[in-house]
Amino acid sequence: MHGGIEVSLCLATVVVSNLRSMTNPPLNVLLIEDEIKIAEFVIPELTATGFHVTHLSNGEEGLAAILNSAFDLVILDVMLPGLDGFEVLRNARQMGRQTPVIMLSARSELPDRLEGFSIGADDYLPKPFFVEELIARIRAVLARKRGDVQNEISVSDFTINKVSHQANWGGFKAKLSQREFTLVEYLIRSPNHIFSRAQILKHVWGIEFNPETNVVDVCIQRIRKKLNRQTTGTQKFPIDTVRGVGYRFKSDNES
Amino acid sequence: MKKSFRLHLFVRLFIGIAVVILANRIIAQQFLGENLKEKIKTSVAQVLVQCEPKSASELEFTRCALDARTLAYASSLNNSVSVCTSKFHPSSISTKSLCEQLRLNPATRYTQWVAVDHLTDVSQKSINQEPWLIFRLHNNPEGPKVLVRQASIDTMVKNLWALRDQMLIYVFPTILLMGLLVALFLTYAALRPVRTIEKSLTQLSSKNLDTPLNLNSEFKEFESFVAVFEQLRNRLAQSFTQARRFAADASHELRTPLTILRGHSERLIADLPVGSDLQVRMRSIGEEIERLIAITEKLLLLSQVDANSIQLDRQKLSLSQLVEDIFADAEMFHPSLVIHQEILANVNFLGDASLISQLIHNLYSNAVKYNTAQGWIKLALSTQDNRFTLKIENPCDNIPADFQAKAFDRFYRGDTARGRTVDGTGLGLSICKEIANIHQVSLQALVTDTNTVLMTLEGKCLSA
Repeated sequence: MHGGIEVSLCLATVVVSNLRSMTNPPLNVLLIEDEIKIAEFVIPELTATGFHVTHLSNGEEGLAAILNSAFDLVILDVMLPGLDGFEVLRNARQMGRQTPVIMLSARSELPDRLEGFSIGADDYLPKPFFVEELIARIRAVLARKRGDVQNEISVSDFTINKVSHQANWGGFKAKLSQREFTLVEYLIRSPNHIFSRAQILKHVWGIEFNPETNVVDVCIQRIRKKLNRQTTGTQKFPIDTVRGVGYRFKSDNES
Repeated sequence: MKKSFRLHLFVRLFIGIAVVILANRIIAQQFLGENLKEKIKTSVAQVLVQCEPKSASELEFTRCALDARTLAYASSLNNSVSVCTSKFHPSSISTKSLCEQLRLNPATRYTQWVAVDHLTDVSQKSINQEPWLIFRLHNNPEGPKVLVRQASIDTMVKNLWALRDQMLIYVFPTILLMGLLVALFLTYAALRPVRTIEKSLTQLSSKNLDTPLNLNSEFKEFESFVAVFEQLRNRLAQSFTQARRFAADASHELRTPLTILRGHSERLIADLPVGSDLQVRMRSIGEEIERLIAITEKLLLLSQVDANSIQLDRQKLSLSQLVEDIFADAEMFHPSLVIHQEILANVNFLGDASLISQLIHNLYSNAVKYNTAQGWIKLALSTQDNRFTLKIENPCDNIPADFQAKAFDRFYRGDTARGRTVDGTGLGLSICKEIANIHQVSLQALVTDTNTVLMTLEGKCLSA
C-alpha cells in the first residue's frame, strides 16, 4: 500500500517537474546577421542567458525561417546581402507574422529608425551596441508582448519598483532618488555583469568626462546607507565594486 | 558701400552724350561752316541769274536785286548786298563808290574767278580795305555784278552758331533728364534677364541640388552664362552626393568592427576571473575601445553635417531643466569649483534632445576642463523678446591668442603643450558649433577683459 503511494507520489513529482519545464521552455530567438564576428559574441551571451538561438546570415533565408517556423523573437540586422532587413520585415508583416522584431543597424539615423518602426519593428538598437543592452531590450519586448507590466525587478532578495523608485532589500526599504534608482536599475538588469565607471557615468549622469570625485562610489554608498541593513558575512550588499574593472550587481549564485 | 550700376551707367552715358555734342559742334563748325558759306554764295549768285534779264533797265535790275530778300540766305544779307550794272550806275551813294572802284580797277586786279555754279562766277576783291565777294554772269563777264561783303557772310555764320549755343543751354537739362531715363531703362532691361536667372538660382538649396536647373534665358547672349550655373550645380550635387555616400559608407565600415571589438572585449572582461590582473588590463583595452567609438561617433556626426544629410528629431525641450540638472550634479562632481547659477525657469526650445544635450554638456565640460585651480563657473539662462540666452563663463590660465578666432575649428586644442594633460579630441567645440548651426542657434566664444572665457548660446524660444 505504502509503496503504491510512494510510487505514485514519485510519478506525480516527475510529471509536475516535466510540466514545469514544459511551461518554461527556452525561448527561440532567430538572429539574422551577416557579420559572423558579431554573431560570435552575441550567440554565446544569448545562450548563457537561456535563449535558444538560430543564426542565419542572409535576408532570403531569414524571411523563409520567419514565415515557416515559430520564433519568439527575431533579431534582425538591416544591412544584409540580397534582401535587406527592412524588406524582410516588410514581407513578414505583410504575410501576417506578428513575431516581435528588434532591428540592429550601423545606420542609426532618424530616417532609418522611423522607417524601421513604421514597418513594424518593436525596437531599434544602433551599432555599436552592448550585448547586455540587447538582452535587456529582448526581455522588455517580450514582456510587453506578453502584456506583462513589469513594475518591479527582483534579483535574489533585492527588489526595485519602477514607479515608486522604492528599493527593498530583504525587507529593508528605502526610496531612491532619480540618480540612485537609475544606477540600480542599470546594474540589476544584467546581474553579475561588470559595468565600467565610464559606462555608468554615461548612462546615469549623461556625462562623458571624468569628474574630480568618485561620483559612482559616493552614490552606491548613499544607497547602502539608506537601506541601513546590518550585513553579516554571507549577506553582503549586492552592489559590488571590482577595483580597476567596475561595478556589478551580484546575484546569489555567483562568487 | 558698393557702387551703383545705374549711376555708373548714367555717368558714362552722360559723358558719351557730352562728347558727341562736343564733337558735333567742332565738326559742324569746321565743315558745315564752309558748306554754309557756299550755300550763301550760291544764293547770292542766284540773285544775279534771276535779275539778269532785267539788266537792260538799270532801275529794274536794281529793284530786282534788292528784292533779293525773297531768296533764302541772301535776304539776311540785305544790307550787305550791292549791285553794279554794266553801265556802272550805282543803286546808292555808297554803292556808287564801290562800283566806281570796280570800274577803276581793271579786270586783272581781280583774284581768280571761280565758278559758283554753271551760270555764275565769283571772285574776291579788296575794296576800301575790306574783302568783298563779286558775282558775275559767266556768259556776260562785263555785265551786271552783285557784290557781297565777306565780313557779313562770316557774321551771319557766327550768329547762327551763337543761336545754336543759346538753344543748347535750354536743351541741356532735357538731355540730362533723357540720359538719366535711358540709363535707368538700360539698367533695367539689361539686368532683367539676369534677375530671372537669379530667381531660379535662389530656389536652389542642398535638398534639390540633384534636379537640373532648367534655366532658360530668352536671349542667346546669356546661354553660356546660364550654362556655367548648370555646371556649377552639377559639381555641387556630385560633391554633396559623395559626401553623403562617405558618411553612409564610413559609418557602416567603422561601426561594424567597433561593434565586434566592443562585443568581444566585454565578453572577455566577463569571462576573466573577477578582480584579476588580466581582467583589469582587459578593462583598460575596453576603455580605449569606448574612446574610439566616441570619437568615431563625433566624426560621423560631423560628416553628416557636411553632407547636409542630418535630420533632426525635434521635440519640446526644457533648457531650464537641462541646465539645472547640470548645476545640481556640479557640486558633487567638482567640489573644488564654485558654481554660480542664474537659471530662469520654463525656458523651452524645439530641438533634437540628444544633440542639444550634447551641446550643453560639451560646453559645460569644457568650462570644467579648462578652469583654474579653485576656479568657478557661471551658468546663466535668461530670455528676452522670446529669445533665450545661455551663458557659460569660467576663468582660464593661458588662454591662447587665437582662441576667439579658432575655438570652433575642428581638432583645435588651444595650447598644444597642454596636449595630454587635458583629456579631449578637439572636436567638442566644433560639434557644438555644428549642432548650434543646424538648430539656427548662434554660439559665440569670447575672451573677456578679466581673462575669462565666455560662451554664449542664443536662439529662439519655444513659447510654452
